[in-house]
Amino acid sequence: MALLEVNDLRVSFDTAAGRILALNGVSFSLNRGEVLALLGESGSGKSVTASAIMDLVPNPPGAIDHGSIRFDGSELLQLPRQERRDLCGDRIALIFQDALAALNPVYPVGWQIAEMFRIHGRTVQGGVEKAVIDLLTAIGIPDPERRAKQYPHEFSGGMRQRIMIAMAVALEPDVIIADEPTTALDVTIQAQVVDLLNAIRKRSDAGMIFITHDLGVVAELADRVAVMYAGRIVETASVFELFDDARHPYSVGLLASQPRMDTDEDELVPIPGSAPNPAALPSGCAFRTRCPRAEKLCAEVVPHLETVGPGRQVACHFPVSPA
Amino acid sequence: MTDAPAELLPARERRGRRILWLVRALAGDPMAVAAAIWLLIVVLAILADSLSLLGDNRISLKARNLPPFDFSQSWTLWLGADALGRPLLVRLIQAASTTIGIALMTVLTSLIGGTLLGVIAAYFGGIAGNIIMRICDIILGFPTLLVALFGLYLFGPSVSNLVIVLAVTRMPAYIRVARAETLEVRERLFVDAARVFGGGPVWILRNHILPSVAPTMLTLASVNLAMVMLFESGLSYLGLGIQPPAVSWGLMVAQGQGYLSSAWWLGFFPGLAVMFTTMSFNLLANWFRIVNDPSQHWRLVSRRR
Repeated sequence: MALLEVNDLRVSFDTAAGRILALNGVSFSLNRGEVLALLGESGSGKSVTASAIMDLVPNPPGAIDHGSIRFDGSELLQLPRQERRDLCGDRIALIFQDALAALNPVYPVGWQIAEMFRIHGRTVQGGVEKAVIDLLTAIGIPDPERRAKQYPHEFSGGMRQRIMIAMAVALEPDVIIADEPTTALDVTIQAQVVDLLNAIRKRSDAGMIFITHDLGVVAELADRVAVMYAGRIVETASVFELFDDARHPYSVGLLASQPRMDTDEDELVPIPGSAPNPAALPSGCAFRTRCPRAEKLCAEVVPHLETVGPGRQVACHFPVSPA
Repeated sequence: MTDAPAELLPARERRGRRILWLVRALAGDPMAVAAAIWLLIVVLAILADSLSLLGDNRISLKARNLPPFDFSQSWTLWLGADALGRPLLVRLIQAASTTIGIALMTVLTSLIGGTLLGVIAAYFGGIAGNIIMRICDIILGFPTLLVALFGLYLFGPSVSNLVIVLAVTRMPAYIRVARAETLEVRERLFVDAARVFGGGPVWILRNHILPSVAPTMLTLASVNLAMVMLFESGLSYLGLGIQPPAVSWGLMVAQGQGYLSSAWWLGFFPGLAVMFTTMSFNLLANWFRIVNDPSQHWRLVSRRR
């Protein structure tokens, strides 16, 4: 059985433009030791998915209307508040994109890492202080005894993100959700952070959901990819299958609009148009207005995820044929 | 809050380190040092008074409106004497405990009560929040002086009634500011982060919201301290505050008013005491704000501010 299973999740928000569906039936599963990349443009619902799992959807204006999130056999959406809170941080952890904002400016970073142990009432062999120093050493912060006493504003962006990671993995969670942890960092630091995340994850055999719009990071890190568009998952595939043989026209467009080193193509092909307004989604398939393969059927019937191979699903009436 | 592993040390050693750090931080701000010295003098004066080390405070018609700086007299008369010949310095010292006692108790009551109510109203919202805010609106709807006069007329002028009336009429300002600050702070990402890491509402309020709200509240309190001292003197002037023979700085200013042209020192020295004290609290509040904001700590060590 999968470690984390999200099924037909629907999340909506009240806005001035009316009620919008941020997630419109999202389903995926994550196994132990696996890295699943959630790939998609801004506004496709990647971060809302993470918020829903972590119980961070602000209510009001947001609400989880439908669906289930099963973690290790228990249904998160039906768990009492206290039990759900105990899971957060301890067994499921989230890494935020903006580490500077996610760290409290009035506490030294050592205090904030120790907070993880204190919230969950954990005692550790050798004391929490030593555990904090060990974590700082593990994420490659030089001179950890001194740095533990410093405040977030005294660290560089890459270090802050690594401290965020140290907090998230302090209690060795089973599921790590990383919400665009490398987006705000420059490329050399991105590589460091990705390597660090991968090393830490391998050591504890945790499952990881990696939210990103960066295909390069996906190729490097992920085992499986779920491509999201307008609040739905449109394709799931292993990372090799996606790059070699994408089926959904959106995935194909996404790949074609990224520069690649392994082909002779000189030109990048952008996807025409822009992401649809979530308050006024097109009828049928949300992608049809930008899709080169769209036909009459696409405007009438919403395509659902269909299994097209082992571990492969596509939500399209006219998928690109296998290469 | 100063260093992380210190948080993890035994309580006694942790407190020791914190006090040491506070002393170092105080030395970095000369204005705060001056303010601390003035407040220390006031505290010592109050102590001396309560231990009755002050000596003579009798009415002496020979010394009526004696001018100050006559150093041939006993030290008690160096600041002159009042209309009944009582030594002004001794009166000032006696008034210090009443004035500061009332001001501190009032401000502390409205600070603690107002902050808690405001934070709760903002963080939990709902019916409780609505009730708190509507009561605030009602209190703010009446002129403060009218509420104070009416309250003191009904319950009689005494120190405790004075504190209650002043605290209640001041509290809505604290509630509103605390609520506004909390509404802003609770949307910050680090509060979400604490929730994601499993922190409950009490944990988040205590460790993440209150420390962020505290500096603003303390600034408001230090400003209010001066206002309360002046307000108390106003009420005393109207005969509903401190009752003679008890004395406060405000009452002394009020009593000296009639002699401004003939004996300026009667009103001048108590006024000066009020000014120094409020200024000291303001300076210390400013220092405290810097101490509580790690990204401002460089101000305590740098010569270039």
